[in-house]
Amino acid sequence: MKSWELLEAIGEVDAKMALEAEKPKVRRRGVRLLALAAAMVLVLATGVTALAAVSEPVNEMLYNIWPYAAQALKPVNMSCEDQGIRMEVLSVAVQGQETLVTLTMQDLTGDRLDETVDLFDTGNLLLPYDGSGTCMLTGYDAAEKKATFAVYMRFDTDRIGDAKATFQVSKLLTGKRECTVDLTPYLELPLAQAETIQVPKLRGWGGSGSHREVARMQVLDPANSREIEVTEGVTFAGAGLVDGALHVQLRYADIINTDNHGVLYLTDREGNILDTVSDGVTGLSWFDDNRDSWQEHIFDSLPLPVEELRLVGDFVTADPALEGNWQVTFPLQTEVE
Amino acid sequence: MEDERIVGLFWQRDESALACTQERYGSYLTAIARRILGDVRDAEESVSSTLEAAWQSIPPHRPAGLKLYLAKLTRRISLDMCRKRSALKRGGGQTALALEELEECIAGEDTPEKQTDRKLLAEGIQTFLAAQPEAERRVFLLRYWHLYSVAEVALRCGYTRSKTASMLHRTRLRLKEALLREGLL
Repeated sequence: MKSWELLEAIGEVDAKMALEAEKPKVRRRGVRLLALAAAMVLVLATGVTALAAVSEPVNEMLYNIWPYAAQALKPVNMSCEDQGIRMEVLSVAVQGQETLVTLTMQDLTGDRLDETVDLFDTGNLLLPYDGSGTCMLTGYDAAEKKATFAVYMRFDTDRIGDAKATFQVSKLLTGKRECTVDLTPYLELPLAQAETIQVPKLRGWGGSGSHREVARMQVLDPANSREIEVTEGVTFAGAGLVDGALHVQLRYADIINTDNHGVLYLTDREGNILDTVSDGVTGLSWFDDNRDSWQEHIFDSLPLPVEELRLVGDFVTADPALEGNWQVTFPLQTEVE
Repeated sequence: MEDERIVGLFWQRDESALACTQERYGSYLTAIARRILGDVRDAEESVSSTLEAAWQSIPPHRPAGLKLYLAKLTRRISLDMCRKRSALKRGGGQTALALEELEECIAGEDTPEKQTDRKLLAEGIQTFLAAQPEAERRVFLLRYWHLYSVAEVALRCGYTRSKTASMLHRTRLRLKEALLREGLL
């Protein structure tokens, strides 16, 4: 094979995945843990390899996604409790740079977990190396109030070693809700030139532009917020024109503890989503003193007259995170009995 | 004008579809072509060819996402131009560097060169990428799908250039392992 073929074949991968890569992201601290439903669907179609020592219902799935790490899974079965919730590390694998940990979180005293629970980016195998990883919820047993997770991490080292390691979780996010809200009624037509201020302390932005340029941008004055609750945790603050672009301002409550977030888009009257191409900044955000996140969404070109548009938001909100200190320390090279 | 209407114009064989496409996506497609070809005039020619290819292929195709469809066409056409015109010798944008880096994925194999089914290869790469952490996947696709320079990838992702290069190197080695495992190398 020539590298030309490889370069051309890379161009044949799912274009949505490729375009997603091009979208700007706000970086978050710590290990980013993501659901891998799409990956699971893809990889499950490729066949199953042999099973090894640890017997868990999720194993076949793990073998297909992370074959090397999953083959090295060894039982741990050690647990701890905090806040009435038990964390049990079921198994661990160390294979070269890769680690895989399977674990359960079980509510022993209440009904605080649900089928939307996640580790809120806090599931972490503590090792003295830089690493990145991903997490997936592999099951939820409502009767047992028990959720099962797999956490895969890759570290910047060729040999992780066989010392003891600690797996730690500090937050659980539950009660996730998704909703779609038509924000069109909140647009006051005809749109007027808005009162603006320079963006307060810039937290992040999407689209092109340097930090210096974006930090000087004008946003709707939050002091004029209309304070319309569109769903629990999300407030519509206002909309208006700034230098010909449509600005829409929202406030997301307490995102550090809720991960509340959303995307805005435009549709025609029939509900067809319109592609809003932009060469500039598409949105920016900043924190206020209450740690709420203000977000300004910017549409610098409107594909239809504003009277023919609908402004729609997809929002994800959650209950405030359940905090605790769950830690289990175990030897990395546990022998199979 | 939104995508569906433009696609409708293509289907009606209305040549204004080309002007609408150029207006809506011209600068985006030119940016893709320029990264691959490294030359503005070549990039403009590639975009013209993209519009021509779209005219020839819609219908029978009715792309659900016009932007994606056009981006893939531009990428393929630009790479073809790059290969045919030996544009690599003239600098060739990011393509020459990307090819050099990707040699790492296929070098060192003693097996005779074999014809790999492109569809299977693409599926293998897709499966591999889907199982990577988001950060690595994003860096890899920005470099080898979009052909951004390493410096641009670093800037977009907020990493240092050396960290970006290191992530790419490790991902290439893992891709090689995965392709070998699947019998695609």
